[in-house]
Amino acid sequence: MKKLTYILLISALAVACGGSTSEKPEKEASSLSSRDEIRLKQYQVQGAKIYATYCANCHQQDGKGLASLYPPLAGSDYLLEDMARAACIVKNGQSKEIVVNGVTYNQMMPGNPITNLEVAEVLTFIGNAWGNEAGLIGVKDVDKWIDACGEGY
Amino acid sequence: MKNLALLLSLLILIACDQQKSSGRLPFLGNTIYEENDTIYHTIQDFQLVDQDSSIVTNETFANQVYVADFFFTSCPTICPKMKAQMLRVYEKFEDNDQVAILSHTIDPTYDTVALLKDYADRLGVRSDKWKFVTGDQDYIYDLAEQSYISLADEDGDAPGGFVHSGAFLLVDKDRRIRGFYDGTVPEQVDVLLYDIDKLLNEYQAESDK
Repeated sequence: MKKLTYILLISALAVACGGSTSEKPEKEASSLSSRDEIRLKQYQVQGAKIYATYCANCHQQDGKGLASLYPPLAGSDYLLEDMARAACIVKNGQSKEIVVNGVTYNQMMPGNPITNLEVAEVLTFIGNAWGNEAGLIGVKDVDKWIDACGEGY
Repeated sequence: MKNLALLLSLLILIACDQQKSSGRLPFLGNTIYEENDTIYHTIQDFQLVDQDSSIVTNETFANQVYVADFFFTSCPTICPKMKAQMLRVYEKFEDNDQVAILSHTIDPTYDTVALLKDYADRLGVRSDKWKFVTGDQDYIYDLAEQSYISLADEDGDAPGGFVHSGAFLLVDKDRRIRGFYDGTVPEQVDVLLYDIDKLLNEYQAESDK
């Protein structure tokens, strides 16, 4: 897994530098989108590991949750409608009753001892797994969101 | 060290058992051999309260084999994994009256009868098949240690650590422990499902005699 990250990093650098070298001017137009794509992949790879460690016990490896005890993340309206709130919950946990896809859940979720970058990575993984299509959740956004977390998150 | 050896031999027993297509499940725990008798380790008398506020004792499982575990509802680590795996046992034997499940809370202060009821309902399971029981905390720990888990690990360096080990224990109709599985590992629960069938077959064979 580490190896893959290095390869991704190196190729990210290569692409990033590629735009400024005279040998590959044709790459200029696509460099931005491919850079984002590589960042998305990096986030997903790291996020998958964080998910397995901190989230999968309750939300399960397939993101479907467990009966009416733990809510699903796959196709979850509650998650996908407000990523800022999701970031606060991942970081600080929450104990409120919530409604996900029409079902009420009341189990307490603990906060997680992870950095904002890791929150961004795990949200990017969750946001783009199991049919979810939230795209890249960047660490700069997560920083802002977590600074503004409301009472109870 | 003795415990490690015991655990190892248990694992080997379980592993070997998996390969045998016939034969009986082992009897786990301390077995005493007397001249004309063999005394197996059995679950002590107990009395607990389930999610319907009904009293649960050994008699509740008089003609049943059951799978026992120890958990608490607010546990975010291994318990959800255990419950996801125990659901497999529930689903496979839902219509078989000879099989039951007994989940003990190790946090009775928080896990009241009402909370256990809510938990079971949310899991979508019937109380006649899967009992979530509570009682006095020391009582449950003693029961766990002396009757169920003692065969696995007697060290218990961390209080509650080994009680809260994720173990599933298969108990036969005569209160004897016949299998020990890690309830967080799907492959071990595969073996448990297989062993329950095998145990039921033992009783079937006896009654056919």
